[in-house]
Amino acid sequence: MNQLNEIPTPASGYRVEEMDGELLLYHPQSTATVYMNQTAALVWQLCNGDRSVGQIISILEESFPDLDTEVRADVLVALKSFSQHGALKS
Amino acid sequence: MVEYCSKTFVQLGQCAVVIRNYSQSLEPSLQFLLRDLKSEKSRTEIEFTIDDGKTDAKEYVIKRGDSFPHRAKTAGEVCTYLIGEIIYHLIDKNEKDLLLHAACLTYNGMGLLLPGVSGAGKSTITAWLLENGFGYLTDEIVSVNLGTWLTEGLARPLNIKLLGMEAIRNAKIGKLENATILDSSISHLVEHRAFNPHFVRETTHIKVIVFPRYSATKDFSLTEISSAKVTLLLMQAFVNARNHAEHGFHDISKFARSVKGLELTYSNFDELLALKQKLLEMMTDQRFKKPTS
Repeated sequence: MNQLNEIPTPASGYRVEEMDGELLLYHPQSTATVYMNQTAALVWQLCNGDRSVGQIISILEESFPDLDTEVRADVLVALKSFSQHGALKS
Repeated sequence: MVEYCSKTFVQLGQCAVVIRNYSQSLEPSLQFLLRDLKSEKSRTEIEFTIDDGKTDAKEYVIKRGDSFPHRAKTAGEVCTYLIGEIIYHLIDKNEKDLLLHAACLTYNGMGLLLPGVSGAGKSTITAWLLENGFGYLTDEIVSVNLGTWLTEGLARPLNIKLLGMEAIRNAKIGKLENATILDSSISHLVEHRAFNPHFVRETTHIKVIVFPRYSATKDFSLTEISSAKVTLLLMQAFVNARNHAEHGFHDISKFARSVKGLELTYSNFDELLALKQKLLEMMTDQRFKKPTS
């Protein structure tokens, strides 16, 4: 998930538990639990199946202008992690 | 000829087992193992029988129902095998309670949970905390009632691995000179009263969860962790998850929201003083925060 025009889409079947800004995704069939810190949780919430990777980065850069140099890397790391855990449709 | 037989029920949460012992010579060791696990309730699904072997070689035979018998040569081997089987069958069919692979202690009436895989140091830390004023529920498995959130533990003797026992002896923790200790090839079953002479069987509400990790090479750390992290780590200790709808994920997260969580990395007992100090600060407020959605 490195191309900015790719559209990350959440895989189906995950239960989502929001806890103080952090997220846990749980998949009953695979019994996998995925922990997301606050940054990753924000990225996940922006993955709605319509937005591209580039659009997600732009939204977060506008929201956190002080952190704009880190946002791009954080988003790509988070998306890679979602993908590795099978939380995104391939 | 009068045949010897004793019968002991053990219950944790909704499940129970019964142990019938036909070996008189084994009885003292069995009483040592089961003394604080006994239950009055007779509802049971699984029955174990223990007998002396019929051959000349001294051995004990342990059977579950009509299953293939397990043979053991020493009382220590019988007890180590039997407690493992008892725990397995208390977990196997339980679909009402949250059963967690964790040690559990009390302080000031409140509960401290120490979940962790084998080797994480649960029993060794438990011995140290008992020596430092905490009360004993278990070093292995707890049952959390989903209605009342009351937690009970299987108060077996402490099962301390060979390395942990060496550390405990070197640090002169507990009164081991007169304590009953049963040895097996991988661990020692040690009377918990050696560390905790005023033991009272009790239930508790959990206030703090510490996830311990023993590492001889890593620096000490004690870090507060979020509810989400607590849930993630608790799911790994949740041994009857498969018996619950959606693997009990929602109930575990509910439980996690009601407690405070710490991650501990330690390499020696001196470092546990900082843990004790932190726990005393966290366990002074007696209010129970009932888990809510």
